[in-house]
Amino acid sequence: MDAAAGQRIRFNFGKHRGLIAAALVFAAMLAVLVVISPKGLGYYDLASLATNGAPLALAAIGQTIIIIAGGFDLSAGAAISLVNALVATTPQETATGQIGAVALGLAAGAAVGALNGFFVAFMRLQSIVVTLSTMFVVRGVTLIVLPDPGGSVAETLTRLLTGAAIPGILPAAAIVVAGGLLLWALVKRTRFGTAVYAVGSDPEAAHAVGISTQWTRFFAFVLGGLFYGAAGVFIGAQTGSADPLVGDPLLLETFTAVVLGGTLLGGGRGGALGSVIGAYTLTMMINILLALDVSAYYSTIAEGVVLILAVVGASLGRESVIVESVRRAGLWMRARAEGVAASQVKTGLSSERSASRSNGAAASRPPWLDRNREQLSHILPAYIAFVLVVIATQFVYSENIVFSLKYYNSLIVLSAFLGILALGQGSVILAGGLDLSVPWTIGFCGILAAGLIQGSNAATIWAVPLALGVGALIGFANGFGVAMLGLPPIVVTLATNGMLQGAALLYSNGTPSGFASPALKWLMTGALGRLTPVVVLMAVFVVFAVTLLGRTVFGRWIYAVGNSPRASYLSGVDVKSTTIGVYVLSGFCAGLVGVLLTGFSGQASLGMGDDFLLPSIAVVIVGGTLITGGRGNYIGMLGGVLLLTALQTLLAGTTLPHSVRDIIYGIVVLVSVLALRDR
Amino acid sequence: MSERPPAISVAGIRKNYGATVALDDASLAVAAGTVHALIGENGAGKSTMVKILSGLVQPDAGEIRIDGQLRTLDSPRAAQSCGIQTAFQEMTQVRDLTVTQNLLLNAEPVWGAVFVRRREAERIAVAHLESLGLGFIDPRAEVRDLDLPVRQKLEIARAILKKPKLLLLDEPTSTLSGRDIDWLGRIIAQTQASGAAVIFISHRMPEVNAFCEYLTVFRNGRDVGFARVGDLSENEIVRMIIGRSLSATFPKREPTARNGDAPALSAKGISTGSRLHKASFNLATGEILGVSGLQGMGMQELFLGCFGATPLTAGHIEVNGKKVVLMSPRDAVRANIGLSLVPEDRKTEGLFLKLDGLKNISLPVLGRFIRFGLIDEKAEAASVREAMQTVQVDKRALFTRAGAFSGGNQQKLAIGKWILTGGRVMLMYDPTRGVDVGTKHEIYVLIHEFAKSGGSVLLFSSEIPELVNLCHRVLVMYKGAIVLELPAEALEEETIIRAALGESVNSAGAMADA
Repeated sequence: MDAAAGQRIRFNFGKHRGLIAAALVFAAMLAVLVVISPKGLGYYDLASLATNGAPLALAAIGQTIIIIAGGFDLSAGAAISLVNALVATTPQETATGQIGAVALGLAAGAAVGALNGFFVAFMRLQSIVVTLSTMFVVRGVTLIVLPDPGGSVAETLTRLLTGAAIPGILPAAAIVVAGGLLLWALVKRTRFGTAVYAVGSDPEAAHAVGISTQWTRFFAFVLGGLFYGAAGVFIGAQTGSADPLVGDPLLLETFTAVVLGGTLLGGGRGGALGSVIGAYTLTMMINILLALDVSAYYSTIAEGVVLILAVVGASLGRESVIVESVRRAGLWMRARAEGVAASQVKTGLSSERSASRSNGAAASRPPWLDRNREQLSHILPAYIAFVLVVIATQFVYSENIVFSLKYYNSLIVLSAFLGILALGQGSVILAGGLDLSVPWTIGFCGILAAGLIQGSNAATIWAVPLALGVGALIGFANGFGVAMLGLPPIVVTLATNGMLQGAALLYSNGTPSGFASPALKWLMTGALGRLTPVVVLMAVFVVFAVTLLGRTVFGRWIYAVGNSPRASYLSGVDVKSTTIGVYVLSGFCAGLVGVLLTGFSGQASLGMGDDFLLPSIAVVIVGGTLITGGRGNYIGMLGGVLLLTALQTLLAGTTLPHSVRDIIYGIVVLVSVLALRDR
Repeated sequence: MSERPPAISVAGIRKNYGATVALDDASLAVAAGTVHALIGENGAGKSTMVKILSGLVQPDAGEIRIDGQLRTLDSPRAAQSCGIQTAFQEMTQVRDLTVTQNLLLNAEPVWGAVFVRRREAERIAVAHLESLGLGFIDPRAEVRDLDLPVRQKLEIARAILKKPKLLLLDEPTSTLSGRDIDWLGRIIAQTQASGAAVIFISHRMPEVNAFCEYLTVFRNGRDVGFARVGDLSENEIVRMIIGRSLSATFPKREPTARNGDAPALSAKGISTGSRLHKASFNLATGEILGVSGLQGMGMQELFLGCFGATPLTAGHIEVNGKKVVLMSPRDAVRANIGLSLVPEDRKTEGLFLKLDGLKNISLPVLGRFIRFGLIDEKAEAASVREAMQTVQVDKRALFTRAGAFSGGNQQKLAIGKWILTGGRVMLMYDPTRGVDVGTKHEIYVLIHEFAKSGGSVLLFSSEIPELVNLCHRVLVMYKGAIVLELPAEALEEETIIRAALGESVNSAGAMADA
């Protein structure tokens, strides 16, 4: 009884550990800011801090709700951009117009959330793949609404939201953020609020108690979207106009803010207050970097580093993967020294039997079609669709397409990029992960290669392997984070992507210089008989990819890990090496694409990889690979590559705006995930 | 049958999971104000019946009547609105919520139909806990911080809080012991007195005798017997549960050749953290060594520790008398070590459901089939086919994904993998769980043949008759330690059960290493 009484008094430090840590980091950051500010912090400084950090704070609240419910939202940034664009393009001369614009913004945010929620809750798809797809669909819609920065937001709104609520004392932004927190605090006190935590923590238990897990998830996404809406409206008021890409940098920042605030990825724990604190900590950090005259290019690097550190910090504990890795390494070294490691001990046992080729047994092999029926059913849709698209292209261009070598040659040249990425991204997905660092691995390696080559054939010989090596190294860093530190793949690769973006900006100082060598240009645009040289390279690559996945031990291990890491481990598979291996492969492939893109266009540019993230995942899924891993093959992915490239060529021949492509890719991914999932 | 009309009656319930039949024409009737035991072996269909009555699983056929009315229990909500409450075995307390939140989850007192009245909720929770004699539980503690027996009591407390007409208790005594069981008895009596019907699922006869008035026996998905408790002798009930004379299905035990060789595998005082404490045993060549114990008593840690899957914090293992440190299962499957593990959960630990049998089985020894750096698929298929013949798995499994097969064939695939490696020591964790009777027998024969040909088996089974009939010796574990070693001539179910329950045994079976 005494022990029980003690239990009742004890303050639950464990429960609030994250929040306390967040508050301490916040205080430390504030102290630094005070110290480095020449005149100390006045109302103006604090007010502008409150205002500048408000959109991130609001977005972070939204992301937090979704994460608590057990989800992940990659569409946050895109949703904010859409809202921003809608608000700024709505006529708002009158007060009614202004209210209408705000309402429209909030509704649009909630609508994006509802779309995500529908697929996650009712179609039972993974939130990562759903929100990744909607991210591109929403971005496409935004670019149609507002192709270039522009539009205008009424000054009244600007004054109302970014001015002072009480002059000299309280900025309006603080009221807005506090209002957001209050709303969540109220929601948390409803049955739905408890249900959000219950569903995120243990969906089966929640279901057994009679909670509707589907509606809970759905409304969590809607509510999260509402907060993105608020963030988008606020940005509109802040800038007085709209930018269709304004939300993009917010994606990495919301995750960083949420994790900094002590909310654990995976659901069931955490809160919005911590995320707001995290958001302002991050805002202050960027202010500090600015005040110290550190190049703005460092900001995404800093965000990435902080995100990784925060996730590692949150996962530290006796049971964490890091501690386990270190413990094992120590054990191994001791065993080696003592001579009792399994590889050293001579037990007199040898279970190796001669791999006898059983006579005639091979003759009873079932026919090829029977053995591969299942695989074919997943692969064929992509190829059938590809043929249909080629035929459609024939009609649109009204010239010979179907039997034209020229068409196929240029199709293969264009599909080389996705074809190479498919092996890397495909291996990662097959092994149960996801690589979001593809865009800036491409960008960084391409910029690096161009900068080193400077048009010289001689430099190409060493610069290309170097760039590929850097790509592989980036992949190794990703793999290390996932396998050895036990971090979620999305978080690691998202952070890496941000860091690479900063690194590319730093390296090129904002404007990539350098250009491809004649040899590299010849590879991508020259002629070898009637073919472009890269077509030959692709043929070799396809053979390599098929062999690697199908006929090597590494390939088999990838499938095993994707099916079940636990079963793989218990069957003697080196799960960690396999995991690191697939990310290295993905980094290498992305690096290769960076180099080839440089050769293709003659030079490298910032954001040259941006167009490849969703397509790299889309081709893998369209080709019959399960997004959760363990099933699929490279021939299928290749079908996906051909289909998407042909589709792209077809669209280029129409008058549809470029942004439609994003929408189509997003829809294609969602439809294929739905159609090709495991039943 | 009973004097009172049934509060709930189910008839002709059928439920298939893929190729596995869980329930096959099962019926059950329980009168209001009575306590009714539902007993049977693991896999007899008790848990599926509980899930159906709780609305978690929909039957393929059959009808459910509550107070004579035909009902469809298509969701937990529907079941609850019929007055059915369940305390589940795999508890449904949400780890990240507090005791109060869990007790009142989805039934919180609300203000204005929207906001949860938190003080009122806590008041209700405290009052309820106190009325059940659980006043020592802090209503604000998070469930993750509570130990298993307390969570189990909360699970029961929540079910009772909603004043059920029918209370389902799904093996509540698997995590309760001693005084907690007396507590449970009082709770059951109280519930019964309130006029509710109670279904008590268990396979422990003493508790059934103490708590229940009636019992229904399930076997292979059917109800095979109904009786008033006390009308049948324990032997009669056991016969109903098992269905046939058991020893007939087991192969004849071979004497082990203990010819002074070093043991094939021995553990020297191994510990893994807190769950396994200084366990030692010797496994001789050709021996089948059984391991028994209740859930969570350290058997899993023993198996995983020997296999290198969980690092040892103390002690070491020896293979053929040579000390060796296994860093991971990758070390255990090396040719010079030759260990195999058939793990507990075949779906997530033993098999790759989306891969075909070929890729499942050849995985640990892929290196053998490498020619010019690539896998020689013909040689691979030939070897795998041989292993598949040994375990007699469906031939189609070679090129069909493992997920398409029934539990029996799946388990054979999981075992076949280790037949191919040719390891001499097989660690088998409950290999017959959830497989059909025919396959069970085949697995027994397989184990028997493996040992006869000079292999050694460490066998854990949740079904004690298997241990008694198959093994040369049996070790019993309790709270992370090996507490008893029984030689073949002293193998008795009762001795094993008593040791597993932690009762000190000072009879024929001597303490380990005595």
